Amino acid sequence: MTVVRIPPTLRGDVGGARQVEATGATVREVLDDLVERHPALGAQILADGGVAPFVNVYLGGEDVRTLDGLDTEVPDGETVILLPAMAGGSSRPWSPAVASSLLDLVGQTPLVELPRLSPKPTVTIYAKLEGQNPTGSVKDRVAKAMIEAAEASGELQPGRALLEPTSGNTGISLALVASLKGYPLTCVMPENATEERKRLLRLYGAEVVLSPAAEGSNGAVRLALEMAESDPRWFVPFQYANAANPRAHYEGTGAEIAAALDRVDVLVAGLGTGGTLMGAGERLRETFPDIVVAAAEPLPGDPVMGLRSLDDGYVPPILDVSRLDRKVLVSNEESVAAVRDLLRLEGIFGGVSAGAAVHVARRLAGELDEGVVVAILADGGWKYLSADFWEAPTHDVEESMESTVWW
Amino acid sequence: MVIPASVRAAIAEHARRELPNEACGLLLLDGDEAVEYVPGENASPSPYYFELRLDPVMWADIGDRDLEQAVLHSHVSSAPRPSRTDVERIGLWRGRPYVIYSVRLDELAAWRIGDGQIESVPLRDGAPA
Repeated sequence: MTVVRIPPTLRGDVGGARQVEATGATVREVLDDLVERHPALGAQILADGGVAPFVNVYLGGEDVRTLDGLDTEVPDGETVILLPAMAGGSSRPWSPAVASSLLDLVGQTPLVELPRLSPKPTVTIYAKLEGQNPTGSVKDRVAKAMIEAAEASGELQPGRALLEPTSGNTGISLALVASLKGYPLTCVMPENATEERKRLLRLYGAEVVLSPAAEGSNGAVRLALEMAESDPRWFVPFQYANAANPRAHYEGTGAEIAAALDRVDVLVAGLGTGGTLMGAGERLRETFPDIVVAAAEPLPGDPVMGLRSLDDGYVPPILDVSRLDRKVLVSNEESVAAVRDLLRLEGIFGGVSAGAAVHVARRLAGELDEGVVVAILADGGWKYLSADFWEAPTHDVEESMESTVWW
Repeated sequence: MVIPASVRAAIAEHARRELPNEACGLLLLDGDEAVEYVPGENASPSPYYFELRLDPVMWADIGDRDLEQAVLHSHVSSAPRPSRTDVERIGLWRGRPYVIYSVRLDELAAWRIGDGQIESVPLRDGAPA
């Protein structure tokens, strides 16, 4: 016979007793017997085949989780103590101070308020700074998720090599993840992609294959798919059609925002692959059912850097436009004006697509009487330094952005 | 809830001693009056997180005294208001008194958290009215 000491928080389930008796040779048997005698205790102390998360079970002064768990043997005459677990903390998410891999530092990006960009004091705009991921963009989440999903399904194994049509952030993120996990990576991009992008990818260890400039981004996709068909060694993650892309935002980006804020009325993100809007939007709608999920979309024919990497008219398979509540068209000029304001007023050095998101966030904030708007800033401005738009007059900006394929 | 100056001083002293991390412990209440503060150990030492650890036999013995237990923890710099983490991790302490001390503001506040609802519990310092 084993004596089980019951804390005040659970005594209502055992008729008010301070301690009760149960029998069993292991903690599991003792708790099963206890639940049989006092069924109301069941849900409180057992869950998913183990000890429930909010209860601690002690034997001989030790937490059984540090012993053999439910299989810990209970010597006859020993007392089992149940106590209510208690944990919490101030609102910042807890994270370990030391990481064992750079990949552990993907995600958990900060949210910062943008008081100087908000059009009215009753509406708070928060920016989620995805530029603080290891390679400096939101695509670290997507690259890590796509590669790990392919490893888990068995599709990606040692000996295979990665191939992706990209000259942008996704390539750099894939290059980091591939290099740390030991897979070779080849990126296919139009030959007129900027020198800094080709250099950056090579520095991260990727091979670069060039497609004809005249065919644009679609040419890079065509060439990558042809290469993949001719050689089964290639694994093409293809972020536009990979379900791990929105899932990374459902489990990461969206869940982090839901955990950090008590209220979100509008979520704004740039529309590229649709991964951020689909994944984070779905997760936030679960917590905030009335949320407006808004896409910042480049004007047709107006390639806002970082948002339009394939040609006009292409709808990525992972994008379901019926789940977007708003689509706001943004011109290059508006994006550039907003990205300059972001730096001048709030000290945030964002990329051009961050400017597009901020432009839309400001506009939708203006439509609210009060509330909370969250804008996802996909990257920082570092990779766009050679673009003239930081200081140049607006018409030069337009020319500069149209003459080069940035993504 | 009444928290006498001597108990408040014990809480503040423990919270400052644990800086830069959050401190936690048990506040024992007789009716609505706090009679004792039992400092605990923060098993996940962090400025943003706590996990209360007390000797289990001592804690079970406390449970056999006819006193109500309130969890106390400190926020290093934010206001003494339950965070989202606090609400999500309330567990079996749902509906029970829950006290937070802000070290930076030197402020105590008491709450009850249940089913996502946060209710403020008025505090008095126990000085004669």
